[in-house]
Amino acid sequence: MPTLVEQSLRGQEAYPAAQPKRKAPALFASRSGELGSIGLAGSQEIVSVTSERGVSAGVTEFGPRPLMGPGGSWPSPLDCAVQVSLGAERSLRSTLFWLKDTLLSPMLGQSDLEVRKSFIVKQVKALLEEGAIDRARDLLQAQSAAIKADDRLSRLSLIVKPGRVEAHDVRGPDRRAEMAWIQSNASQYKGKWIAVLGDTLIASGDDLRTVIELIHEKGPETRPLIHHVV
Amino acid sequence: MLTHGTDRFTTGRTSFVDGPLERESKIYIEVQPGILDLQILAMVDTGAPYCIFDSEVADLLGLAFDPTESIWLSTRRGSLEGTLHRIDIRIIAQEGQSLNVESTVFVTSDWRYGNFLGYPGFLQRLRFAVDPSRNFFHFGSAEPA
Repeated sequence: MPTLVEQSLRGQEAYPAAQPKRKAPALFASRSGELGSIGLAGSQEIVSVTSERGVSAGVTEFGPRPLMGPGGSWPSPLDCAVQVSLGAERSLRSTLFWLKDTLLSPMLGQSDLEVRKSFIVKQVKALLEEGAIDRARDLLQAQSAAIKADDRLSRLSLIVKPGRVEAHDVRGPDRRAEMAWIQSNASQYKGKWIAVLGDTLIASGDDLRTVIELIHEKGPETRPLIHHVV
Repeated sequence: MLTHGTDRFTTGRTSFVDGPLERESKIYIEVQPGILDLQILAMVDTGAPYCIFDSEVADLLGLAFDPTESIWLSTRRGSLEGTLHRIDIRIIAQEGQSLNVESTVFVTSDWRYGNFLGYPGFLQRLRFAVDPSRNFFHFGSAEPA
């Protein structure tokens, strides 16, 4: 008797017969906890984890909505086929993280602390994907020392910490001539890297390293202004 | 330098280019990324969360895309997977003081679409003002003196 995952991987219907007919399962979780291939099955917002005992948990696009199965416990055996029918990629991704971290990982024997760390990493990354650095920093700062000690979270803390800003008494050359040249002529060099000094183009090329070599060959006293014309 | 009441508002000034490099006018200023002795133009992009540099610049900076520590970012070129890094970016003053800003940079593989200075990862740490009549970009630290 093949497991649900095996059935699913062959593209067969993994839902129990009592479930309404849907398109083929879109995502699979194996015993190792790895999430498999993804293919959206429609525009519905419900995600459900299905085991041989039926639906045990579900989430909507807006967050987890546990739907405990018969007896109120998580299913066994561990094989689960996860059917996904979300329309939005972002929601889908965050939902998958939630499924893996809060539902599948405990079933796979990971400790609560590891699950929590993994969940925080995913939450911080989701915030960073929205550019919400401040909220990611607040979330990290609110964690316990044991969680903050995690290598991944330590690295993320460095990325979101308030950036240092320092003024220096250093001035560059007046670039108005370079900028005027670029404004008037750059369109002729689309796709190229160019180096301009004063009102003169001193190097151009398809890649930055070539342009840097050309600049070194010419050895100007003042550094040119480099631009990639896209 | 610009003042706000009796307070100093900006401490440096540079020039900018504003097209017609592209169909729409954009503001490009001169910066020096990280430890590189390179002065390049980067676009001021308040709509972008992070700084992005051409992959060739990122390579020279030693910034690598790490797929094990990646996030996805929605860009004008589609949704891209990349890694966040921290580096100093210097805005080079032509008058006043240059500014070193510890910045958050998104590094993705094969980015060939120019250099960008994003808002939360860079611009949010500055005060800045644009004088379009003279193409001057005024800047200073947003941190209290």
